[in-house]
Amino acid sequence: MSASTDASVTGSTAGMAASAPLLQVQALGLSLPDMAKKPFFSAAPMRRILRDVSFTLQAGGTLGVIGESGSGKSTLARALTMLMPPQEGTIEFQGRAVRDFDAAAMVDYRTQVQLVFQDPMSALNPRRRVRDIVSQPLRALGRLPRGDSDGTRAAGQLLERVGLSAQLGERYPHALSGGQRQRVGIARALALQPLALIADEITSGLDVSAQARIVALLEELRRDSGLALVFISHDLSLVRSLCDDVLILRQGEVVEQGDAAAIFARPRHAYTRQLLDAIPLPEPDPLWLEREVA
Amino acid sequence: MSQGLSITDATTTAAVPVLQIDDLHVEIRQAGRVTPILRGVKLSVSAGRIHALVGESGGGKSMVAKAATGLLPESAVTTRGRIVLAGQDVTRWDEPRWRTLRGRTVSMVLQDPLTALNPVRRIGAQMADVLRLHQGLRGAAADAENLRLLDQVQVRDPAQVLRQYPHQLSGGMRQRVVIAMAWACRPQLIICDEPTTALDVTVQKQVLRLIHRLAGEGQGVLMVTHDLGVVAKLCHSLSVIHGGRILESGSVSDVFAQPQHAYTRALLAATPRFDRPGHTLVPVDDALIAQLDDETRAYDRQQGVAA
Amino acid sequence: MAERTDIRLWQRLLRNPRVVIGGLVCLLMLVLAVGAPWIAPADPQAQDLIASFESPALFGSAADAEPDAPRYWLGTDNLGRDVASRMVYGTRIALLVAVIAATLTALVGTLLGALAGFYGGKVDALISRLVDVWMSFPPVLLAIVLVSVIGTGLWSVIAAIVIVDWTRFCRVVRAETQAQKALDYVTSARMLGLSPLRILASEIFPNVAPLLITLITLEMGVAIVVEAILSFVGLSLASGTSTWGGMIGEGRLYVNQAPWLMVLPMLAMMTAVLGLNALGDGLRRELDPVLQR
Repeated sequence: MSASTDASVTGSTAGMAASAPLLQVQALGLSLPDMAKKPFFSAAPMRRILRDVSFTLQAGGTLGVIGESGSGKSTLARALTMLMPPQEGTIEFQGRAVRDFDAAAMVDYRTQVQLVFQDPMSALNPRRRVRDIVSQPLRALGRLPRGDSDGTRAAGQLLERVGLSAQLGERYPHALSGGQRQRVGIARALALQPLALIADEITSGLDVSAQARIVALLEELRRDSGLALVFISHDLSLVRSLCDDVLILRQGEVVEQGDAAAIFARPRHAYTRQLLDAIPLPEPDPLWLEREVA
Repeated sequence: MSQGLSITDATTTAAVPVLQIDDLHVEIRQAGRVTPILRGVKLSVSAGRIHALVGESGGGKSMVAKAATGLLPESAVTTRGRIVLAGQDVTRWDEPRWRTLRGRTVSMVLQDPLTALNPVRRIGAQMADVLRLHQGLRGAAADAENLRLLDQVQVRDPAQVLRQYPHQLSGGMRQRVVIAMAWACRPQLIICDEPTTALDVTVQKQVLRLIHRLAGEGQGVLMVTHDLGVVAKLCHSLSVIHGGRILESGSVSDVFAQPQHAYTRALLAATPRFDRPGHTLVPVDDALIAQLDDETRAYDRQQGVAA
Repeated sequence: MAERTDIRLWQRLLRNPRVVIGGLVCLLMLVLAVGAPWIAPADPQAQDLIASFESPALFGSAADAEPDAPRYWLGTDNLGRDVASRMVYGTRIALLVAVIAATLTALVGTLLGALAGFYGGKVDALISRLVDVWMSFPPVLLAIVLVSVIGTGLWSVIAAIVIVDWTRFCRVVRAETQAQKALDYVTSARMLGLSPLRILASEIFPNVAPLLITLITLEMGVAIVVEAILSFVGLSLASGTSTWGGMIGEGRLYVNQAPWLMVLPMLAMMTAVLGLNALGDGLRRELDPVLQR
């Protein structure tokens, strides 16, 4: 089950090819203590969550990370932002090693590469108004525009950027629908004008129209601001419509990666074929259920 | 294209409707306000058939599911219409009478198997509850039946699973257990409310296959979902609901080939198409929603509801 | 916009029966406590041995009373002291103890609980072990021992309550802080480089506050009862001062001939505690945005 790495990772916008890629990940590995198997008096044994993950993200590029539960995709998102520092491998941001960053540089890194969490409720503070949530990054880093001391106007602009009305800022998160909450999360992530978004399953649990809205928004952001995107999802169809490159994870290891169109057209690995086959297309097909793919 | 399965209800199986909902109007009356939530819902599910109820969140599909199991909230009032379940008119039944039907005649598979199962009891104990309550089975007889049920839902090591707790099982496995419990008493109607949304796509296919097989044994299935892909692959017929009104219904092959209502078309346009990479996902148009909301309000006025 | 929400908030508060009833009880207590010198019919310490054990005029028939004898609305005790006046002055003590003790207990307990819950590790281990050991002492016994050692008086009573009960707040706040810390919104705040103190104060605290409202009002009720217990065993304030607990303790001796001596202060305590709990519950329901769905 060897990883098939496609050497020609694309996704760069014109003219940027010469400079360092936005994110360069090499041989990333991460283990966590397995508390379920911890003996009484000693330390818990380590369980490997990610093994030998490598990829490159150019400015403005889009990488889809596909994996099912237990694949380690959420851990990858946290490893990239050093929330869970990886034990092995390197992450380079614009050519500099993230591991060597001091506190200030780390905050700067995390503002440039923003993590957007999956809703439900825990991603947004349930007892703060939406406008405070959205303007929090500006207030925290002292970057509020002049004349906007509590960030209300800035929040309004960010909300409109993601297709929500500025009035929604007065509400609390529970008064919003799932799709709206997710867009609030994106608005907050955009506050500090990041270079890249890492979206961890932000469309899961949303119904079809809300999903389409998020995808349309992400595409628009990419077009207008050149925002790079790491889109983590288990939904291959969404990844296909959004991402140029794809990385398929299974139990912490890369199964296939490279140009999305190429991989989906000619999957090399059996697991990829299984995934592709399991996608229920909205086309009536009574034989689909019984069909098994090797 | 509709090869293989013949969809039209009229001539195939003894098309006995297991669930028949006619012109159902339900309102929520709370704090002096009246809010209609179901507006003239009409749908039917036949034995051995899988009928989908498709719509977005807030469209009313969960309320229909609750109405069909007598689990509408206290503040809900049925003002008009009928629900006929397995030949009995259950429209205004009270809780004690519903308890005689639940589990035995109608059962439900919910979205999140982790919350549907009691986390502090073993699987075997929970399944035995269902058997004891509805079939009076105890002890060895219950254990044997449990094993048989788990086998039916293709659990590989049923004896082991019975001894385990829910958190020790994977999501797909838990959902199978829930389906086994729902199926234990061979209810005539099984209602599935987004049963595969939380599952991985490969596991989803297996669970859908399972549901299809169970329907083949004669149960009627009402599949509440927002995933048109699932509807296309699994279901025989569907109803599209928005704002508590059924906008379109028909056989899956007919509706997918020629969707009549603009909302149905909009939902299809918003569904990601893996086979069409260039296809842009189009969210449902705000203008369309506004138009539908206008129609809903007009309907309410016509019904004489003080909104 | 903010103005409208304030008005709406008051309307909502006044519509909630718990807030209204609890608020009225607390208001009554406040009025009695503050206005004691003017409201109390007589000097609570004034003894009139001739008029001892007068039954409450409130429940007696007016015809029995002599025309120009002083009316004792709630009767007199064994020393002829006016029960009504004693109860009013007792409200003062009860309220003082309740408010001060509950506030201090909340401060100490919340601070330590928040630190333990947020920092975890050694800080948590230290504080948690401290709480465990502390809680292993029987609370009432601890209070009694403390007051016996440091002497009686209002501040001793308050200190005893705080020293015994801070652990209750600490445990609950620690658990809630831990739960909140695990949520993604806290992670987002940490990624912005916000300091732990700032995260605790501006992100986590609003989510712990509803719990605190309930706990503080409960604690106020506990404080009233503990003070009464200490009075009962004579370890509270100087024996002359009127406290509900003291009245119960003395009244116990005469329960057959003058039951009102014990029953009335008990009723007062019950009303006070119930009123406080109702107010706390009602406030929490109305102020918590999450419960406003």
